[in-house]
Amino acid sequence: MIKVLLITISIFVLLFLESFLFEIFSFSLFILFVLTLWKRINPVVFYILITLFGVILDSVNHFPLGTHVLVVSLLLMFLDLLSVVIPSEGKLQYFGIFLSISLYYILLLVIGSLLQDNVFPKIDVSKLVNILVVSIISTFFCIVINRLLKTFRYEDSRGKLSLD
Amino acid sequence: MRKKFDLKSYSKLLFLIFSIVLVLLGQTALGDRIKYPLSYIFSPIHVYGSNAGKGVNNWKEALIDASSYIKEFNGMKEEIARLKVENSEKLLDYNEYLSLKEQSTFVVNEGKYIQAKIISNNMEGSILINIGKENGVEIGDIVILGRVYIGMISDVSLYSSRVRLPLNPSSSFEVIVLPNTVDLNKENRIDSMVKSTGVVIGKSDNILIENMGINSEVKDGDFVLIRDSRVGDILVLGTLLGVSNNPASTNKSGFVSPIFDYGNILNVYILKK
Repeated sequence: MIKVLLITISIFVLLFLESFLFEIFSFSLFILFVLTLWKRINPVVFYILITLFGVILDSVNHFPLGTHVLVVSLLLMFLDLLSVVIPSEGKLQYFGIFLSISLYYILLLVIGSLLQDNVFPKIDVSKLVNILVVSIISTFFCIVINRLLKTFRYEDSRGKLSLD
Repeated sequence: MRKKFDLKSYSKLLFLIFSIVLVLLGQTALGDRIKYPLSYIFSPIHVYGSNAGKGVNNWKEALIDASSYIKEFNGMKEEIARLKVENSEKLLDYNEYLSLKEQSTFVVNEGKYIQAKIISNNMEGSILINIGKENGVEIGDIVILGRVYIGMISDVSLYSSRVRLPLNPSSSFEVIVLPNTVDLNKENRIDSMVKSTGVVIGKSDNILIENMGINSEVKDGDFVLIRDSRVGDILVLGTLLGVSNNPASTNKSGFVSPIFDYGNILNVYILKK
């Protein structure tokens, strides 16, 4: 029960932060949320949360239903394909994350416009530069979150014996 | 031995199929039924977040332009002092006259108006406004500001709507071109003054006008007015810019400079017939 309550409150807080940050820096918290939770929680819970938050974003931003969910599902497939070329551990993994975040912004622009207006959006240099900058900032945040999570894990397991 | 079906290894593929089904569902009437309750619950948070972001953004821009503001402010102080000394009474009368004139020419005579505030304009050639189905807004309603066309409602939820601007690539209208000497507040018979007809198409960062008569005497600065059955009224779109002068072409084309910078508008009106 407490978990459901926490998730509900988190969704409200995340939506506020998503709208707030998107207005200031065109920065999406949703993609950070996806990349942070991916492979860290139970896949079923992950898919339910992503679908719920994605549909909420579609509703409030007037995107056609399922746009965010479709973009994330394509992104997960891309991440899987990418893991063949780029190792998913070590420092190189962040290059993959950077590519995924960039692809998220581009796909959201393209799929959103195609589903809503049936036209392919014009992606000029300024838009690409904007996406590049936002993706670099998001990747930096991903690195910070990963480091923090690793520190917490280390703190948790310090007192335990290991057979490794 | 037969391999056991592992759901986890196909989870991404299943999620992709699910997302495609969700998108297809969104294209039906059921999509709106799913979106409405969520929009009802979460729109206030979104609007609150966007407004807070806009407030911070204004401060950010103000800080970046601080030096120019100080210069402008000092210049304005000097100007105001000079004008006050010269003729303070006339200045006040003139300002009052201007605002009254603006008010009287602000609205088109027929129809009912619903005022709306702009929440955000972060999408491709469209803006979000803070009123929706609850206030009687419907898809296809026209959004104006005075006599100027701002856009058309393309999506409605309970408390907010999406307005498709003329910049949007899916937006196209039939227009007429009038000389810039015409006083649009006085002239009722504009048919005799039409220089040319044409079609405007949104191109994301500008508005293209095509199919103007090759022999028409259209020139930069002429008024471009929308005369389209979907809009109903004749509304101002902007002024003509960069008219092509290719003698080999069968028609003239150019660009339309909108009357307002869509990024700077705060309030709009929805025209209900």
